[in-house]
Amino acid sequence: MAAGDTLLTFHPYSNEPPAANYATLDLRNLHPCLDFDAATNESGVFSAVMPRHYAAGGVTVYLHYAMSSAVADTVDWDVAFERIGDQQLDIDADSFADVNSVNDTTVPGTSGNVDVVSVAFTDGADMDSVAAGELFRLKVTRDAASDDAAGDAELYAVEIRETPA
Amino acid sequence: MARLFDNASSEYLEYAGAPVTGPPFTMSCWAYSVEDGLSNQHPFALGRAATPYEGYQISFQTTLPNDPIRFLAYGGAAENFAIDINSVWTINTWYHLCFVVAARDNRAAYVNYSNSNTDANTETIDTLTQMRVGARGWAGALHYLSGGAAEPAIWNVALTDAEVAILAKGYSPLFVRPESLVFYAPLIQDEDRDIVGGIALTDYNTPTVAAHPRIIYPGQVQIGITGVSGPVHETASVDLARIVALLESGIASGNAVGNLGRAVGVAEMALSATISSILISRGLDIDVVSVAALVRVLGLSRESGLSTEAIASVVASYILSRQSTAATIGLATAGSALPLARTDDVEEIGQASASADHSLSRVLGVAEGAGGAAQGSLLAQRVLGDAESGSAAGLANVTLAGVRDIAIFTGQVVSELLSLAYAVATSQSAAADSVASRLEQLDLSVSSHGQSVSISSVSLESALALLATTGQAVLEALELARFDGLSDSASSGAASPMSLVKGIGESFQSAASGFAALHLSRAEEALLYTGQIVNKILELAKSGNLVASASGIANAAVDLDQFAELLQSVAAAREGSIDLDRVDTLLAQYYELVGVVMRKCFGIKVGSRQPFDIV
Repeated sequence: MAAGDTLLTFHPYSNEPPAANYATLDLRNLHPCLDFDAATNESGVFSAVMPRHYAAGGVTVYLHYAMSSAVADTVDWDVAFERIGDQQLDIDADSFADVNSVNDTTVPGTSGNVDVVSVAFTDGADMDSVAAGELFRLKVTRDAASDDAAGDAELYAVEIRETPA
Repeated sequence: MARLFDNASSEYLEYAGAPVTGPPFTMSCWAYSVEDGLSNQHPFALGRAATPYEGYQISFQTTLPNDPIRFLAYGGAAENFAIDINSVWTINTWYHLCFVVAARDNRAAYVNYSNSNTDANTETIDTLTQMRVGARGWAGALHYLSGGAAEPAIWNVALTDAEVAILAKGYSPLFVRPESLVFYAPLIQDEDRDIVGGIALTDYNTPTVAAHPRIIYPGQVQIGITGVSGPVHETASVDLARIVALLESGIASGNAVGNLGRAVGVAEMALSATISSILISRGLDIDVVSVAALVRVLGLSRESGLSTEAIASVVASYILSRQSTAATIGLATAGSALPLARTDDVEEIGQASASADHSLSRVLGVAEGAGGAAQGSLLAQRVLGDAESGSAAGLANVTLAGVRDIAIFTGQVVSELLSLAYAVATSQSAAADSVASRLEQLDLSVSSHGQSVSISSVSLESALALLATTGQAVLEALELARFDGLSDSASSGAASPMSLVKGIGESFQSAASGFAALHLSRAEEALLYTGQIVNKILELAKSGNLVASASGIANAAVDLDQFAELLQSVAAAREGSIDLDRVDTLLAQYYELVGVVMRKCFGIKVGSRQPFDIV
């Protein structure tokens, strides 16, 4: 496996909510999702071990989301990695790298339509130097302070894919 | 999204029953209040619907000292035992509330685990019969919650301190002693389903929704996590079944739990993974329900309920190695790929489908690869050979199971023709009662037909009985036709018995009934090949009513070539429920057999060539 391959997928029930400002679990037509508020920046956190077949080509994170009700304006997402690794981090404190963002995405014209946006990370510091075989966390945050789409944004899935060559 | 209740609108959820009837049990939920001026708000309660009003309940209190969260065991005025966790709550803040009732004299209460207390007073609360979320557990003033509630859960055991701590951290109840979890409704959005016990909560006065508390659920990589009481997988059948239930509510992720769901489904049907291959082995005793489940597992059908025919059509595509399996399936779809090795199978299966030409060939015992009737029937050849070589005993050795098959089939054909005749009769002016009476008087025994069979072979006698049956049925059909007012044409045309038959046939051809009439005229063809019409014609001839020269007719050779003209004059009816081409093929071979029987048993010579050839 190599560039362009899916490395990991996360679903709403894999969320490990932070202690505060956490995205909340919801159902939409029995589809599980995480609700991200329109007024406060809320986050979802997912942990995994980077697959061994990650070839250090960088990753692209895909966010599958829909809007609870908005059919206009834009939504902003921030994504960040936290490397835990082999004695790389004292996990008693969070240590996420800087976010990469996908901003000003015009929401779908139908609120039930799931849009897919992506944000790329180069291998190395950009993704907190997470390497194959290392435990890490991924934080997904709606930058509600910056976007203007009304109502909750609902996250249905997250995919981490090795960036295509 | 959790459930949001408004006291002013008397909103709550209720189950008219109780997941537990008494101690030991543990009840847990997350709740908050939005009104600090409203006392006695109940997020979760178990009680009795009828007197005496008793039960266990959790409530936000505002009129008691220190505004506690109260955990009450109430067995009446004399048993009013409360555990108050004081000064711990404020409005619009989620709290984990847990009430552990280990015994009637052993209760513990927790608010966010760290705030706890116990009580050892003895209560005698009667059997619990009611459960509510957002209101008190028994009749009278319900004291509704104004606030949110989520994740109500009940175990039929007393959880330990450590287990309560896990819950208070935000872990879903699914992580804690899942084998003892008897009720759990996450209350996400307006989904009030109990995903482990299947209880249906009824909502009253339309409670709304609010943001859900912070809860950690089993993810797709987290199933199998070790709980405090031991590995989850030790009770895999129960846990997997519950996790499959999660799938129904959309909680679990797709792939992993879907596969577990299928595994549970297969386990529940007592089918191993091996069975899920398409080959059904001989050693299995699979009933229709299991086959249907197997088909689901194989993904061969998207429907949850499969008819017997649908199951048969699927199973018939595979190799059926056991006769009993074929028999169990019943109506098999006999496609060309279906190797029915024994004619007995077909006999047991009964009526083959219309498209099963190959199967019918096998039923007849036609040699493998036989292309058509012209090659003859192995069975027929056997009968011919045995008949020519043998005595009555030799004939007795002939297995006429294939003849029975044919007889059954033709019997079914003529039975249907009889039904059509009845329909024709009732459509005309003939009295329906008399027609019905005639039908009821059908005598299907050989002896009543007046034929004495001296052959000792039981099997041959049975075959003759069947021949007589089919023949007599068709005879009666003709009788009904005559009874129907066609006697004028029958008597007037009586130059010969052939004219009688022809006259009847022509009359029916011209009848206004059309389709049914054509089929009835084809019944005459069936009679021809059963040989019974020969006898009937002879009888009519003997009676002298219709034949000018009747004497000696009994021993006369009946040349059925004259019937060819009649048959060919009949429209080739390809419509209707009977494939008459196959009838012709069958009857042609049947004719061979009947010819032998008639000659050997009754001394009646019949024409040797096939009387007609439908093109």
